[in-house]
Amino acid sequence: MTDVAQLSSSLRRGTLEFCVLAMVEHEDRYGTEIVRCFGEERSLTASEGTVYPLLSRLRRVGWLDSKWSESPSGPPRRYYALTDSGRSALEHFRTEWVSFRQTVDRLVGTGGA
Amino acid sequence: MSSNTTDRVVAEYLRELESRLGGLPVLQRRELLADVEAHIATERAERGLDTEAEVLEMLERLGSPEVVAAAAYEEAEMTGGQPLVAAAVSPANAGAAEARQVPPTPVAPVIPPPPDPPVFGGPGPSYTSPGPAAGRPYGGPYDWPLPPPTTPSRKDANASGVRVAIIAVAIALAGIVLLLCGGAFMLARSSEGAPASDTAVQEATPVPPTPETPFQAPVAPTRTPPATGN
Repeated sequence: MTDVAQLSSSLRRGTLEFCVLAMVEHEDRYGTEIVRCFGEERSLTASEGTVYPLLSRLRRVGWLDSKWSESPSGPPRRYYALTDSGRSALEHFRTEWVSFRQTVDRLVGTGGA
Repeated sequence: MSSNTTDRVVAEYLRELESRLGGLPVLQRRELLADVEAHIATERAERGLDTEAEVLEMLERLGSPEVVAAAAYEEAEMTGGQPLVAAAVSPANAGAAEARQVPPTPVAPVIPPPPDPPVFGGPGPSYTSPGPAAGRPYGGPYDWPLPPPTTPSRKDANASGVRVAIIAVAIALAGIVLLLCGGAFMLARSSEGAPASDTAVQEATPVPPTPETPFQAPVAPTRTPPATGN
């Protein structure tokens, strides 16, 4: 059980942030919205709360912008948007990921030829 | 009423989380707490969570303070290891200020607390309120199948060992500089014939062996020039 958990954790490490970037590619989203989507993907995160440090890091490295804005139906929300460098990082990941995935599939024997 | 109970539960959670974030830089700690607090408030408002059970369920989805704190340390380490892209990119608003505030130093400042044993079964001090046994609202549901963050503490043990060594060297150097100044001062005073030559004896003798011993030799009281009234 621990090995399985560690494997998913290692696989997650390089890819989760790009999943987050993709979520705000077409429209800005607020923190809880993003976190909820991941909360349902149990294979990606341990819990919803672990996404917040990731969002924070993506802001620090300049791939996401954020701003607080008032909400009519509740407390203020922090909206996230993709920056230009975030956009190009996502594009770069897409290329890398496809070739990586194909290579691994071929070597490990998963996926179609 | 129920809102008091739910507020108390949330406050306990946030307090517990904050207590585990001490190793983070202040800015990151505050940001995470603000984000989590806003998340909780938004969930309560949007989902209309009224009862303690609903709030507890939401907090369970959020994750235990231990899990969230562990994620925070992990992300902080990743930034410490990689060159900050923000320095070059610097988005228009506070992003640039944030990037400058995060020092490009090694991982050393980020020291996660040692992983606690799961306290939910036994007499866990973490979740019980200071008053009478209000029960452990988080008993049980936080047994995530995650390995404890042992790797960061091993790495940080080495890093903090290096820090201790650096501090020890700095103290030693400061001590040497002080001794040099003290030696020079006493030398000046004894050549003036000050009556403090006796104290010079007391102070000069218990000097620990330093590489600067030749500097101490002229201060030896027996060598006092005959001009002084000894």
